[in-house]
Amino acid sequence: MARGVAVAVPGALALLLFFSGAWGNGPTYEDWTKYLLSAPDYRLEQVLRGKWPYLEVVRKDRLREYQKGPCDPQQDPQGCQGRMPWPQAQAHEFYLPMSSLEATREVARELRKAWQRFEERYYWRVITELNNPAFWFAYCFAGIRGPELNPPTPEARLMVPSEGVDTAFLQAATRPGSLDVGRWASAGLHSLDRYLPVPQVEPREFCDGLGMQILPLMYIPGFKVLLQGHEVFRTPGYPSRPLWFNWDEANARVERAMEKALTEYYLDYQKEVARILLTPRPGTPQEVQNLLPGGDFRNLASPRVYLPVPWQGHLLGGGSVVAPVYTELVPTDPTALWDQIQSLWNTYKGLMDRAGSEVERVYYHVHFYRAARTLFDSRAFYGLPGMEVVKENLVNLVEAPLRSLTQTIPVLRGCAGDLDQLASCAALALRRVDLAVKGVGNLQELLGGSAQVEPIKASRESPGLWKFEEAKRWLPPASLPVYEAFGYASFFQAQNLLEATTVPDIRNVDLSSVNLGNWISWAWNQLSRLVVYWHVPLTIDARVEYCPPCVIAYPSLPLEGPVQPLAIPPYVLPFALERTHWRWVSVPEGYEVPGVRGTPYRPLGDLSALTSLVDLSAFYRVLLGR
Amino acid sequence: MRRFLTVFLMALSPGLAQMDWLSGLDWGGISANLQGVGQVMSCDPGSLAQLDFSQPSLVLRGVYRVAKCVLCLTLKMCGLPDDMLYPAAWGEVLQGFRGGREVLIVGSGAGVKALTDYLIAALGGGACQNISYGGVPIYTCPEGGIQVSRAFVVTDPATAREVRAKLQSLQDPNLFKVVGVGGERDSPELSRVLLGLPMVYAERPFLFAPGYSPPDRWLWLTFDGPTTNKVLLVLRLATQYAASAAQREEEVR
Repeated sequence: MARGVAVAVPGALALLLFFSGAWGNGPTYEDWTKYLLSAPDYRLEQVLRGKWPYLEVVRKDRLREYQKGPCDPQQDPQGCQGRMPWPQAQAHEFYLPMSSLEATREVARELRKAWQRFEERYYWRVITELNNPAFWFAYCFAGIRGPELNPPTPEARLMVPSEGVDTAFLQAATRPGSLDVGRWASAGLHSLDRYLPVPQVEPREFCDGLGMQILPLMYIPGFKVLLQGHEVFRTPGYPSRPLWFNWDEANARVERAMEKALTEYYLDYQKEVARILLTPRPGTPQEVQNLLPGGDFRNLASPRVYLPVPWQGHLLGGGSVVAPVYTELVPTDPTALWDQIQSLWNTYKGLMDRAGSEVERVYYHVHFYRAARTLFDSRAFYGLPGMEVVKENLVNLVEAPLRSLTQTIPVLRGCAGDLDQLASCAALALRRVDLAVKGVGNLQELLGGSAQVEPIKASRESPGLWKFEEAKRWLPPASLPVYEAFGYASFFQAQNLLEATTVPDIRNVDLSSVNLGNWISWAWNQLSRLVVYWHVPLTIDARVEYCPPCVIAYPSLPLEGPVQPLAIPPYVLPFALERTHWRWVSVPEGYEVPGVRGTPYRPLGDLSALTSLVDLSAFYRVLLGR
Repeated sequence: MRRFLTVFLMALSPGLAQMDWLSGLDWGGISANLQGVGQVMSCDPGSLAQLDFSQPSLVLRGVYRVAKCVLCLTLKMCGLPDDMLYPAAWGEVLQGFRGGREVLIVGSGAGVKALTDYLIAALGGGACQNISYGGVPIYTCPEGGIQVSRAFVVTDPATAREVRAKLQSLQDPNLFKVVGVGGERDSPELSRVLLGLPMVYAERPFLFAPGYSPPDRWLWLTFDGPTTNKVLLVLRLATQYAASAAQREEEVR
């Protein structure tokens, strides 16, 4: 054992040093946020003509090189020193086709199912191989099995990744108290829905290469001897312990099964994940295009399409698989639209009330009003009955609070007129405040008693007023006109994370609602997946019978229980590999896309070993026309 | 439906077969098993009603112990280990902290914070009673103190920052090496590592499940010989995957 531990520790240290050493103090923000979301302009009319909607992302470092102009090292070797090769600088724009939220939820469901399949195969391989031949007969030969795995479609939960959001904004927003930034939508979902005492996968999934194995002998059963119904002898530990147990063989079997599961079955899991994530659906550009009926915005609905972009792929050490999502192409129900706008307003107001200064809190009314008005004036809603009411609702929502707020701050006091004039006036006033913060003008005079410490327009390349933009990372997935008007877009992202845990995950306990039911089911999940060997103790009953009188001794099943579990190390199955997580994130226009690395449309070499890769650039060129 | 029922019954049959005392037939065991029912009370099932649900480790331990005791008494299934892994006493963990060797702590969040607090206080010489964790302030410094030659702490950046701040109170600032996994922004997607089960290596490896209590009341688990082999197997595979991930890093650059 001492030797084993001595080997285990360098192994663990090597692993840790890889992760701590590879990045020194850890990867920095700049390494991870090279891509900006650019202009979610969907050219809605183009969609009517059968062009699939898409987003554009720009790679910052290449864009800067591109803006410096071309450079030919043969003509000007001096001037080109330190410059990126020109073709690389030219390739700074990438186009990402949109997918439907429903389709990405379906992908998430399949990812979850792939994990469940692996989890079942892992456990049942170990337990069947260990308990061969009894379990081999039951599960492999007779094929006893439970229902198919059928996980429900997971919820689309938004996450605000800490590596994406501006730290200054996060600090401002968390000053009044902690703020929910969500977590991976996949958190806690790497588990079965029901832990049944029978496998929920086909026998062939975990019986491959397994035959009936009677030798070597696994144990000599424990027994007790009864004489005329009275116990005279029992073996030590009867009935829980057999008289002799072949520990070496049991350990070897478990280890063999674990190795098989963690190499072969795990590879199958990886392959399945790669196939699910990287296969567009429907499978051909024509089928996708057929889902776009031309003519009228009201026919567009929300076609179920999944068009992934491998940003070098999801594997550990790579980037992600990404798909921008829409809930529907164009909303057709004004009431539902208004509900959605109200929920955007609540999110936005909640955040800016926390993170904004007094003058910024006034301004979010303007910002929101302008975005919503642009939305309602969109061509997509021409002639849609009910839009007038929605427009009135918007004015009612914003006007009164805005007017009363303008009275409190000196720089805004002169603002009057209709709502549009008021909004323009407030925007100009805000600009004066921003200049004053940066040193031009008298801040005290403009703001009276209230304070403004941070600049409103940040001195960075990203457009817009940074706080109002950063807040959009909290806005949920929506339709194309909403993205266009509010200037953000939501993405589905999937990537592998390395984690060390047990199967089933011992941390999967829902602490949010503490009740006995949760805990009992959690305890059952853990206990039902213990690694145990089932053995049969015996009773030897010797009686004098009238046969004519003679002594008969016969073994029988013990009355205390015909089968007994014997726990075998490691008791619970360990797992310390990468597995696929997924999430939905929102990105403001002109701001950094989180969680992506490398180059879009360039899958990692290792991915081609896992699945047959579709040439997505060619696939999407047909759809997008570029 | 009928097929499902058949499968269900077949699956349950080993369990049902055990309950011969329910069948009403006097096979000889009935009286003995009826006594077993009376003995169930000795498993203290009432403890289930008093579980502290804020402490996962204690709930697991409580439910497991009652379940194991009931199985052993009624069905005479006594082959399950005392804990799901080999439990370790707090004394064994302390023993590891006293050997003057290197110590490694891996994990994230409050558990690691409380444990490093404890180490820092004990190494700094006393005042352990000042530590409070979840409102339970009573730590007693181990008698005879603790000696470690170096302590490595691998944790999330937020915890790493807090631990680093507390290290100022130590005489030897190099005694601790703190590594924050997750980069400057404390996000697992930057380092692509979720710190899983918390672990301490002090002469031998321990897993721990923290709760709102001092470390001596946490669930401490250790590996036994045959378990170590399997953990090694998993580690070997993980190292392979980490190595190929490192190659992909190059590809992405």
